[in-house]
Parts: sequence; C-alpha cells; structure tokens
Amino acid sequence: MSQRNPSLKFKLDEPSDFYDLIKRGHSFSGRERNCCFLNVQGRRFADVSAVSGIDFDDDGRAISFVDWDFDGDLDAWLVNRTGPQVRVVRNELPKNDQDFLEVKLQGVTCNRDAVGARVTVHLRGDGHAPLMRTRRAGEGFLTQSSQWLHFGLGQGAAIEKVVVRWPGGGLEEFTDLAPNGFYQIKQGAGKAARFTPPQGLAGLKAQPLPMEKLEAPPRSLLGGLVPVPALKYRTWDGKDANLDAQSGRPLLLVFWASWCEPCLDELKRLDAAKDELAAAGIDVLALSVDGVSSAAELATHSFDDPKSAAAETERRLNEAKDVAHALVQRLNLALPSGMASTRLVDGIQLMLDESLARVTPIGVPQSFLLDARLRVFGVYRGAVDVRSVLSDAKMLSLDDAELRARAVPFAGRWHTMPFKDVILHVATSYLNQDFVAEGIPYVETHGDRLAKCPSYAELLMTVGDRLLAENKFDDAAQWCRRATEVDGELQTAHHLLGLAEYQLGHSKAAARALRRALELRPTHVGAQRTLAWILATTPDASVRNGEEAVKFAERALDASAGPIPDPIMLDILGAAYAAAGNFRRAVEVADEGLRLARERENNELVLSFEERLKVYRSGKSLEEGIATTNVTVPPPEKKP
Amino acid sequence: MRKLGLAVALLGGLTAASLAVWQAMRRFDDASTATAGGPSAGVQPGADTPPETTPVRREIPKVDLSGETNLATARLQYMTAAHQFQVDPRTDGWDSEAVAEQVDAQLKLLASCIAQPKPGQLEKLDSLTAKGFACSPLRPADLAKVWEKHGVAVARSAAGAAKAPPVAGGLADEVAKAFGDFASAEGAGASFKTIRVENKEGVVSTVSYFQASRRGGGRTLQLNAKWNCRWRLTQQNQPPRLELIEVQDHEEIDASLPAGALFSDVTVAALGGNPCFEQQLRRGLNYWVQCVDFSYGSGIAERYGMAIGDVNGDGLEDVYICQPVGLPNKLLVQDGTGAVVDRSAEAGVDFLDHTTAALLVDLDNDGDPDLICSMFYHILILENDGQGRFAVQADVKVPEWDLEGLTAIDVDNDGDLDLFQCVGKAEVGKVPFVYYDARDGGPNFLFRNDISSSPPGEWKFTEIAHDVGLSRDNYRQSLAAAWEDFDNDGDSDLFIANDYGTKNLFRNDNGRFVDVAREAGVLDPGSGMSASWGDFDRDGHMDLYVGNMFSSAGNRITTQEQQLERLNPTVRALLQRFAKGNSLFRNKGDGTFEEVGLEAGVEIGRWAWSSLFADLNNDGWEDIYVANGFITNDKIDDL
Repeated sequence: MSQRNPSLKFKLDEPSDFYDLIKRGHSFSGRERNCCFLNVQGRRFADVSAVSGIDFDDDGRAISFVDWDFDGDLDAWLVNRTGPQVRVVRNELPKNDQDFLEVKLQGVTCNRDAVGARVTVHLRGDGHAPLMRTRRAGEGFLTQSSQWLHFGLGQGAAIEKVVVRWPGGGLEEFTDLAPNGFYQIKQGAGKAARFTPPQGLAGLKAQPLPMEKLEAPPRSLLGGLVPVPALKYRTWDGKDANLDAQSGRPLLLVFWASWCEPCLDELKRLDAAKDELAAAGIDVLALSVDGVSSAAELATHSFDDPKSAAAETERRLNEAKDVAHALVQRLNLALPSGMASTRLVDGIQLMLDESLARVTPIGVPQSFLLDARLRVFGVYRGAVDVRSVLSDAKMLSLDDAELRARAVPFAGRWHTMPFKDVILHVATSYLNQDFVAEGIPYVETHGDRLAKCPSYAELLMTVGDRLLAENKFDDAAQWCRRATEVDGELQTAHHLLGLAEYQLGHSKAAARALRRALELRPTHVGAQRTLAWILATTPDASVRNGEEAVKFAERALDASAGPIPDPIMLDILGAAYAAAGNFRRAVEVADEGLRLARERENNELVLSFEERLKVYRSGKSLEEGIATTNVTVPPPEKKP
Repeated sequence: MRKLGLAVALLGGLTAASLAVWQAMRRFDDASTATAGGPSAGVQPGADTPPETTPVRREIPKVDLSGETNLATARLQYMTAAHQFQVDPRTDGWDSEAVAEQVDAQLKLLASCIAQPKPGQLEKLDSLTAKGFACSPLRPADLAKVWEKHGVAVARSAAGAAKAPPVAGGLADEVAKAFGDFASAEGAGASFKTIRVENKEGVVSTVSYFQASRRGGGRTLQLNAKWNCRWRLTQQNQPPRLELIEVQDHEEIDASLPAGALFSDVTVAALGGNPCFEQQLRRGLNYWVQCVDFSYGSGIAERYGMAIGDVNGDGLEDVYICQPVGLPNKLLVQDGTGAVVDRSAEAGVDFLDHTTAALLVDLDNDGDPDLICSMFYHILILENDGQGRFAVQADVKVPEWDLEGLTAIDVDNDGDLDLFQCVGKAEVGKVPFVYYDARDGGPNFLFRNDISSSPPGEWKFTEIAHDVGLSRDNYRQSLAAAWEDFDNDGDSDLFIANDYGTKNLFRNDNGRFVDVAREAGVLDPGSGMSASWGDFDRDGHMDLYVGNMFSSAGNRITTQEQQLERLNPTVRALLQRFAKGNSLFRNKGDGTFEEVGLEAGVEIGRWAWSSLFADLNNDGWEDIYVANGFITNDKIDDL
C-alpha cells in the first residue's frame, strides 16, 4: 500500500483508504446536482432545481450573490472544486414582473462598511413582518457576497418605510425609498441617496458550459525535485545499464513502444532535434517499453514455479527487444535507445505516486526530464514538445528554491512558498514495495537530504528491517544502530538491532539492545521473547541469566495469553526454566509444547521438543545440552 | 433443546484442543505466580500484538460502539460502508446494501423508461414486476396549484400517500399513462435516490426520492416525489421484483420561462476574454494536483472560496477568486460591459499560496475594500490604495494550517472591523478524533483590529477569542461562521458550523459570548459545512439554514436493524442524523428554534457546502440555493 504523507498535513483523520481511492480516480458523492428550493410563502419549499438552470453537477463550494448587472435581481458567482472552477450565472427573472429594492450602507461612526447593520423594509398592507436583511462580510462556505442588500418586494409593493439599525446602536428611519430603486444610505445623513446604476452590463451572452473533461495534463513540472534510484535498463546487446551512467547532464528519458503509432512520429521528431538538444546539454535516451507489462504479468500470474516464469519472461522480453530493435534500425534512429525494464517503469511510477495527489499510470509516449542527479523535473504525457523541454531544462540551472518558485503552472507571487520534502516518503515506498536493492543505495546517496526529514530514523530502521528479512544481519545491525543513534527513543529500532545482533551471535549486544527496547516499551512481547531466549541459551556466561530469562518469558506468555499459546513460546519458557535450574518446570512446559506440536502435526517441533525433554530430564540446561543434541535452536522471530 | 445440545456438542468437539491448551495456560499462570512472584507491576498484558511467525488464533473483538475506545473503528466502518469505496456489500456483511444495489439497478431501468417511455423501452418493464403488482397513480391527478408567479407554477397532490390498487395493464401501462408527455421532450431525465431499505424474509421495502424533468416547447417540467416500494426477492442472484408502488408527496413544477430557466450561464461571456479562463479556471483540482506536487502542500480535496467587492470605486462589483497552491489567485475587475478583466498581477494580489478564504472589507475606514487572504499558517492583510492596487500591511501568523471560513464583524463596537477565522483540522491534535463528536480541531481566532493605534505600514491585529468568551468549545473543526442578531437585541450573535459534530451558537451578551446552542435547540449534530440566516417565514425573527452532509447510502445503512443492535441508542441516533442532510431551524422568537427542514422540504441538499438563503425571484420570500458534491472523479459512483 502506498503511504500517505503524514508531514503534509492532509486531512489526517480521514480513513487512509479514502485518499488512496480518491487518488486512484474514484468518486465520492460526485456529480451531485446543486439544489434550488423555492420558498412558497413560508410554507413547504418547492424543489425547482431542474427549472433553475443552476443545478450544475460540479463539485460546488462557494456561492456569492450579487446583482451583477444592476437589473434588480440576484445573480451569482460560483466556485467549484471541479472545472470550471468559476461560474457566473445571470438571473433571468422577467423585468417588471416583481418589485425590488437595493440598499448600500455607509457607516460613519460605526465601521464604514456598516457590517452588522440591519435593514428592515416595511411594506404597506403586506400582512407579514417587515423584510429583513443584515449586512454581512463573509457567509456560506468560504464566501463573501455583494455589500448591496437586495430585497425582493413581490408585485405592486408599497414601501411604508425603511429602518436601518446601525451596528453599535442607533435607528434611522427613511420614507423616501421607492420600489425598483437603488439607494445609498450614509449613517446620520437623514435621507437615502438614489443611485443610478451603471448601464450596459446586461449584454453577456448565455452559453452552456459543461464540466471539464477529466484528463491528465500533458506537462507537469515537479517542484519537489525528487530523484529516482539508479534504475536499470537494457541495451540492445542485452546488457543491463544504469540510468545514472549518464554524463552529468540533464536527461530526457523517452518511453515508447513499437506498437504505438504516435511514438514513432515522436522518435523521428526527437531524432531530428537531437543536435538542438545536445547543444542545450540535454542527453536523450529513448527506451522501448515493449514487453514490459506482459513480462511482468507473466512473471506474477502464469507460472507457479519462479524459474519457469523467469525464463519465459526473459524469452518474451528478448522477442520484444528484437521487434523494437528492428524498428530502431528501420527508422535509422541515431538517438541513444534501449529497452525499459518493468522495474524502471515501476520505479518511476512509485516516485510519481508519492509526489502527486493523483495516480496517473505511465503510458506511451511519455517522457521525463531528469537533472544530472536523477531528480525528475519534467513529465511530458503524449508527444513531447522539444521547445518545452529546452526551456524547462534551462530552469534546471536555477537554485532549488528559485526553481521551485517557478515550477508552477503559471506566473504569480509567493507570499511564503511552502516546502514539505516528499523524498522520505518516496524512499520508504521503495523499501516497502520490493525495491530494496535500489532503495538502500537511494537512502545512502540521499542521506543528507533525507536526514532533514521528520521520521528519518524510521527510514533507517526500515532499511534494517528489509536487510534482516534478507538475512543480511551485519548490514541490518548497522542500519538499525544508525536509526537508534538518530532517535534513541525509537523502540522498534532497538528491537530490530537486538534481533540482528542475536543472529550474528553477539548475545551481549543483542541483550543490551533488547533491554533498551523493553525500557521504552516494557510490554513488548517480541522483545521479551527474544531476550528470554538469549538469557536462557547464550553460551556467554556473563550474559546468561536463568532467573531473568524466566521473568521475561513469563511476561511474554502472560501478555500473549490467547486460547492457544505459541509452542515456540513454550520452548522459550522451558529453556528459561532449565537455565534457572528448575528442571521439573522445564520438563512440564516442554511436555505441553510437545503435545501442542503433535496436535499441530508439526514434526520438526515434535522432534525438537523430544530432544529438549531428554536434555532437561538429564538435568541440563539447553545451553549445556545443545552441543549433544542435533536440533537447531529455533530463532525466536525475524520481525519485531 | 435437542438441536441446541447437538450444537454445543459440535462446538465442544471443535474446540476441545483449544480448551485443553487454555487449561494448560492457566496452569502456567498459576505456576508463574508461585515461582516468580507474579507478573511485575506496570506490565500491561495484551498491550502488544505478538509478532510470532506462527499465527496465534485470537478472538477477534466485536465492534462495540458504546465505548469511546472503538470509535475510530466505528467511523471507518461507517464511512467505508456508507460510501461503498471498494467494499463489496455482499461479502462484507451489509446484506441490505446488496439488496439496495439490486433495487438501484431495477430503479435505473425504471427511470430510463420514464425518461423515454417509448415502445421498445416499455416492454423492458415486464421483467420488473411480480405477480399481482399494484400501484397508486404514478402521477397523481389531484394536483392543486399552490403557487404561481412569473411563469413558474407549483402544484401538489392533496393526498398524502394514495391507495394502490392492483393494476391490470402492469407497470408499462402505468408509466405510459403517467409519463407519455416525456416521450417527445427534448431533455428528459429521471432518477431515484434510495434512502431506506428493509429486508424482511424476502420482502424488501424501500423508500426513494424520485425526480424527473423534461424540457420542450419553452416549458420545463419538474416532478418531485417520494416512492415507497415493496419488492419480492425470488431467487438467489435474481433482481428483486416490484409488488407495490405508493407515490407520496408528489409535486410538479411547471415553468414557462423566456430564457428556458430561472438562470443562465454567462461564464464564457464574462470570463472568456482572459487567457486565465481557458488556461487556469476552466480546469479543476483533479487536473491541477497533477501539476503541483505534494511538496507544495497540494491536496485533491482542498477547497477555495471567493469574495465580491468594488475594488476600484467605479461602482461595479469585482471579484477575488482564491486558488489552490501553485495557481495564482485572481482579481477579476469589471470592464463596464459585464465582463471582467484579469488584474491580479497589476493589483499585486496574484498569490500562488494556498488561499482558502478571502474578504474584501474596509479595515481602515478609508472608503475602499482592503483584502484579507487566509493561507496556510498566515492571514495576509493588504491595503487598497483606492485604485484597486494592494500592498501588504500585516502578515498575521497563526499556528494552524487549515484556515476555513473568514468573516468580519465589529465585535467590540469601536468602529472598525475585526476578523473571525474558523479553523478546521488542528496542526497538533490534542484529543482523539471522534466521528460524530469531533473536538480535535484547531482553535478559531478572533483578531481585534488595532489599525488605529498601529504605526503606518504595520497594521496590528490582536487575538482576543478568550477575552470575549469565544475560546469555549473552540476545537470543533469549524468550517463556517454566520453572524446574526438572532434574538433581536441589537448585537451580532455568532453561529458556527462545525464538521463532525455539534454546532455553536454564541449569544452576544454585551460583548461576552455565551454558547446557547443546546438551550436554543440548534446543536444540529452533523457534518456542518456552512450556515445562513434569513427570515424565511417572515415572522420578524431570523431563521437558520445549515449546510450538512446528505448520503443516501448513509441513510440506508444507519437505519439497518442489524447494524443498530450493536450501537448504543445515542450513537445510533447521531449516526442516522449525520446522513440526513441540511437543517432548517425556525426561530420561535423566544430564544429557541424548532427544526422544520423535513416539513419544509429542504433537507436533501446532498453533500452540501455553501447553502444560502436568497430571494431569487423577488417575491419577498427567501429561497435557498445549495452548492454540493464532494469528489467527482473519472470513476463514477452512484451514491
């Protein structure tokens, strides 16, 4: 699963699945039509959405009302999450059908905008309370409407009086306002001033505007400047080559396929532009993705036996390579070219997925502009415009902050340009998504930058964890130790370090690390188990401690109390009792373990417990007896 | 008895092994107590899941919503199921949702036939009904006109739910009879939203909102009703068949409007002359988050607002549009023809920063609107030079990133406008998130305007929320504030729409604010997004309309009995309410409100954001317009 970016202050308490699904293109109460309810004289409203003409299926957010064209009715500006992000809608109420009044206030002793003032319009013989509006600044959701107060008056209304209650107190009454007029009222002026509205605003042509077509942008610049690891591609003679074996110049990496018609045009165009690109100091590498997805598919789905799958994958890749190579030769391309690998494509995809809020699968033709440090800057979907590449490449010479400031779609000014480095998420994603071989050098190469990110210690620890899973205990210990050096409170790092040291036979160091892990989290069962085992079985007499082993083993057993204990847990407890000289209990526990092992028909365990029992019955600890038995000691666990 | 005995025996057989082990463990426990003096103090068993390589069978705890501990699980479960994500309702235990899905498919077919009641279409309906199908007239004949003005007529069926006799000709005949006039219409559509599903031994009852509309001959017709249906489940995997339709609350809007609708879209004419329209504003966030990466703090569900004001004093209203991070905010100034010109750069306000809210208000009382922008961690305040050019006068830093609704009010009556900033999520959450009662938000801020005592060029704002009583219950993920004198005592009170929980109504008592939401009856638990005040019934007291979330799936799920029995009644009621939609509160004039949204027919605002009163047709009565929809993406959902 891809990780979200906790440092980015997303809506963190949303279900993580939520953003993951949205990121992958799912809707969530989408395409809902705006609602319009007509007030039927204070009784049940009528839903007139379909009649309103403003039942847009946009993801609507803000609504601002304004009599935009000064024709006496309310028009509106709308802001949406979807495109168009902005709409202007005109009220088409027939003229002279209903009366209106519009009032703009000016405060003198109160705030000049008269925010908080209430205006009441008393209609003669109306039979209802006067109409009321309050002057507001900010309403609805993220919206501010016009400061003109608008009153619909119905048909044939007669205004008895208009009363303004100014904020902070003070009533003023006006009897000189007539329907269908615009008035400005200044606090204390005693009289409303008729305002002649500007003319000629009503001529805007109506035109339906559908929601945007949802598609990926042809060009994206990634201001995050996140590098990809040293991914491999294949040369035409079948050799693996590193992406970073380039010349210290920016690289335009082009993905194409022999079956993709537009790709061929693209290759020809790029071939023709190669001198121009070279002059600008840009290398080009055109990699065919022929066979990439089918090979990957095959490897995972078609064969149970990995060897056959690998062989078949290789055969198909070679076949695809021949087709692609033939095409390169037929087109007489002088551009450097080769074969992309699934890992190369996936490796770039992973970086993109951690960098952008939308997952857009890489397609062909698609190109990437990387700087000399393999930082991906330009992403070009579809045919690449050479001029764009040239101008984007020029930006690569700017310093990072300047580059980021300008790597946005449009010009504008930054008040404070935010920067939350995503490289740590990218690195973590590599390690978690089976890119360990690439991910570890990645973490090494970019250590300085990664070290500035929050959770750097976790990342180092993750490296250790991956290495531990590959039984590379020495390296694992080193990485975990580094993690504990960066963050001494990182319990899991101490625990993993303990496991690695144990596997290396360094029981003293292992015990030390595990004790530290248990200081930080005294209830951690895994650390208790491993520590108990080490204390019970280590040949190092200065570390061995039967009493303590019993203590930790019992705690672990207590904490993991479920309907069925883990037989290995019993094995550890037995060994601890034996180390403490309590052979009676050791035998009892091993007996129980044996029974469990038999129930589970786990022959290896059965054999192991039988051997244990022989040792304990002879009054020996496991450490003493181990040399005489032929049973491997079960490693307590691999993962914390 | 016999049956039960057998079951116990079987269970006993199956679990004999584990029982034996359990006993063995008890023995160990006793032994350890005896030998090691018992487990040490401070060791909390069960705090960690042991990471054994051999899987240990453990009892999976039942989801229990009664305590505070499992709320996260509950919320996940609710949200996940309510919005279906990729959860398959059939395999995840939401039986009723599986039925709802089938009903939905059947209703889609019915809707398509209603929109196009033509031979060839109508025959498809035969597969929809069961034997003995009965229905009330699908378009009741007893319509009475309740309102007519400026070419819009509203008519309603007098009867509540009509009797439903068996119909000889079947559903096809009934549809042809009721919707024959849809056959020749230009734009005809029909849809159902199902809000209740009840499955009792193969008999399924559903309640759905029905809407249909057609255009043609200068007329637009809209039908709204509630359809109560009964379905029979026949075989496994076979769609349910209709036995009964009862039409309720039928309403018809018949409009003959010169422009074809109440409003028309003039966006292209108003904005199209600016390159920024096609290049920037025409596209939405789905697109732009692919161009501005996470390192800038971009997000696909972020939201942005706008402000209207006359920035250059020419008497014409102008507009400031907030934009996502990486895209310049837009100041669009009227050109005298109703169209606007992009003046963002010249005006000095083309900020690329993430800007959620903006205000155009006169902060220094010099007669022109100044500009305030809410950004990540900053409230930027700019002075207008009177010509519509702006210069930064204050950069008010706040320790929060999620700045939402921004409002201005003169809270201390000193003659200048102060600023109230709502904050949603907190920078640092202090308590766990609770879906139906979140108190983990950031604090809202009230900034007093101290410009009159500031040196020139350095406008000062002082945070005073605590001093006036607004720091109480101030961590509720607030999205919007709405100021109004609800008790007609001459000062501005404050309603706050909070996400995931109850709302605040701060009554202004001589400058001190006291939260009276509970006494006033406007706690309104729900996912509040906005609020609006207006005297909709013209009784002289300001009423309140609150924008919340409506989800038909949420409505269905939270009313399921099998879900309900696990919930404590309070939480159950809350969860049901959370899916219900918008709320209309009638101000009774005595400081309290009564909720009338359902009767008033204004609850279903869908996934609502801005939900505002406005008299759209100048008849003197406040209408309502609701902007809604959460996330539209290319993969369509049908919630």
